[in-house]
Amino acid sequence: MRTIKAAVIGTGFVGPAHVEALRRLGFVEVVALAGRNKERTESKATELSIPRVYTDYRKLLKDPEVEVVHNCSTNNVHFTINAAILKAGKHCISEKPLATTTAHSRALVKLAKGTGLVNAVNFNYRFYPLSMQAKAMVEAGEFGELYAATGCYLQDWLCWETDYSWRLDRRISGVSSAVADLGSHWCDLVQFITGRRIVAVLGDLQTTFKVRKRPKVTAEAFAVDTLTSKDYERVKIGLDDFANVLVRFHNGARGVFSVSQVSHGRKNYLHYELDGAKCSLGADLEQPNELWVGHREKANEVLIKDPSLLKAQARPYAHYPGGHPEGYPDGPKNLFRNAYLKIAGDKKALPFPTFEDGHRAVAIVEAVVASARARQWTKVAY
Amino acid sequence: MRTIKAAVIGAGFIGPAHVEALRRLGFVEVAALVDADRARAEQKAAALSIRQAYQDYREMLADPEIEVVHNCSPNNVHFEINSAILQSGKHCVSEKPLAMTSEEARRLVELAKKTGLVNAVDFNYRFYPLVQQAKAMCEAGEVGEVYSVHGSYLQDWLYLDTDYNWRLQPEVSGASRAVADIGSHWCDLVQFVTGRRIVEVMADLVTVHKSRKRPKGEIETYAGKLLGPGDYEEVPINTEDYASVLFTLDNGAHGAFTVCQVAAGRKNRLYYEVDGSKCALAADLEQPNELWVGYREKANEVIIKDPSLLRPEARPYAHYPGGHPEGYPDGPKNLFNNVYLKVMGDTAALPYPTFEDGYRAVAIVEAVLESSRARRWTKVAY
Repeated sequence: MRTIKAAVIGTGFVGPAHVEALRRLGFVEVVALAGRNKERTESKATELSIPRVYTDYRKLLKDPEVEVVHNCSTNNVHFTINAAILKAGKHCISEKPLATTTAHSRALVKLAKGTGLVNAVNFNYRFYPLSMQAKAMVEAGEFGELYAATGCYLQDWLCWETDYSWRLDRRISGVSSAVADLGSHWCDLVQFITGRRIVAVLGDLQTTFKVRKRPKVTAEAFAVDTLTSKDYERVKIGLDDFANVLVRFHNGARGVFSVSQVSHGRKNYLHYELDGAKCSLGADLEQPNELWVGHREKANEVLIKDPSLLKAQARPYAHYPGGHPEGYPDGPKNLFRNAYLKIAGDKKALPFPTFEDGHRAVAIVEAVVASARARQWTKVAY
Repeated sequence: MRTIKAAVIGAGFIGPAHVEALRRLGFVEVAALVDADRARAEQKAAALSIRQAYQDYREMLADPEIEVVHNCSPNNVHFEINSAILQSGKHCVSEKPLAMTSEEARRLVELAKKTGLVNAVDFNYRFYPLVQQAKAMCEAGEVGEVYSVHGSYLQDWLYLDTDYNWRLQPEVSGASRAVADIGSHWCDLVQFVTGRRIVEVMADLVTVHKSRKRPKGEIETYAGKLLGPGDYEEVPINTEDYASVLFTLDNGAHGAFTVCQVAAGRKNRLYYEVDGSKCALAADLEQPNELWVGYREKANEVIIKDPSLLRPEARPYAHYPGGHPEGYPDGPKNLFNNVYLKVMGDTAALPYPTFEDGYRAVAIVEAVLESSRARRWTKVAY
């Protein structure tokens, strides 16, 4: 396999995660890192042994050696940067959200189609081996018709008044915080596994902390150190940190999920439970190496990630034997592998979420926000 | 940071795991892969995008650019190859066991000392963030005096009498199987966490499948479960599938562990429990992102891996936020990071298991074998 040169834009939490995942593939070289803050970008590039540093992503896009660019910037510039990447003739791996409005995400889908370049969105949870297993079971008919889907995606990193993040700022984040950040993952995963599409939603959004105390130093998402500074300024918050959302699937099935950034003790708890005509499937993605299978007529089962127990379509996504847990970092590795095989011209056409999937996610978020405002069911305008 | 060139000997299960872990560091290039089977060396090197493939490790050792060599060969050549690596002036990262006998292991410790080269043994489970946390809690006095340590390490990949692998051949693997393969991990881990040393053992070893059916082709460790029925020949087995071992620690505390490779449903379940005078600690390493803390006088606790909840000594070993599970592949990454920083001359002196620890593990296994044979308590001859 020839070596493909890639670059990453963004030095926050997820940019370095992309770098590490890419290096595990063996045939990708991360040659450049771009970020707005010169000092921080240089320091991260040194820490990650990345040779080239840019503070203007447009200069990076002029680098002829770079074939693929990962957009790990803040949400408000996703549209501008994704469009620029494609126009520069480079393949684009975008973090979610694809863009902050459907007008923009729709435009990006059209642009990607027009250029024919490889385009992907990092819905990484699809790529846990047991997510692939759940999907394979559904496709094989073991699950039956979808009756209902329930679950939640709960976190606690914003559960104090003194927690602050750019994700709470409408100008940077978009129209929603919890539903957009977490709900998009939940919806994407459930639709991916069941093969069913969400067509209407009824959202109820809550802003638990209407005012937060913002410290002078900006914190990365999931900041490690507890901030001890006493210099705070009061900031009004207009975005949701908790929401309940009813959903309706195109086959008539119903669902409900809760998202929260204020749930003490829940670190990154994505839970789904899918009820089918033949069995139920459940998972807690803080323990991604177990899949629960519920039965009416016999004992429930717990499937431990073990290649020999997976269906053939799921097996390639497990790289270690049973009981050797694969974790969060292993998802992006699998996703990027499929995207980069396509870039390398591989004919196998292994699937990965594209801008189309990114656009669908944005459309659902917009519908939820509109629905919450109008207090009524709202169709998703794809 | 300058780039260090490394080579890996052995393209079975664990060699590729070393390759992947090294690539995550960012400053290590895996320049060569060696395997006694030339076709396998070339095929795996191509699949892993490693430029040089060798069949003879001595040819690779002649390459002056290679600074570090990972020994992932079968057990019976560990002594020969580890010696050759050190004698060629290269640093050595050895898989366990360090050697097949304590005599050979002792010689390797001396050779490593004489050459002053960096030497390590891949006791990877030490490097899960919550194992580092458990150790830090013990060192900080939070657990108190150790009353007892107990647990097990259970697998099922050799469950059927048609399961076969080189580890079943004593001339290749050693006189002990389950105790050497997985008991060594268990013992190393609990000694690491508690800071205590196993000094005497009372062992009971059992060969459950006294004969097995051996298929014609070579089976990678853990891969046998995917094999369908084929041509078999009956082979007598005299290494243990199961063992229970009582032991005493250097502080007078007692303990017990069970190892078993015919425990259906247990994929790779290392479980330990430390009973201390102030609290108890327990973990199931199939779920490495949770640490249980038991109390008499208040509710028990479950620590979820979250950097903000770890003691400062443990925090550097977690690279992802809370609820973003780190798994099996993340252990070796941490171990090699500490080793390679030492290779680079870093003065931080971050710890990692050395040949000395590898030697201790072999000494324990020998005492276990002797004890089971004589059916009496046997001191470990360090």
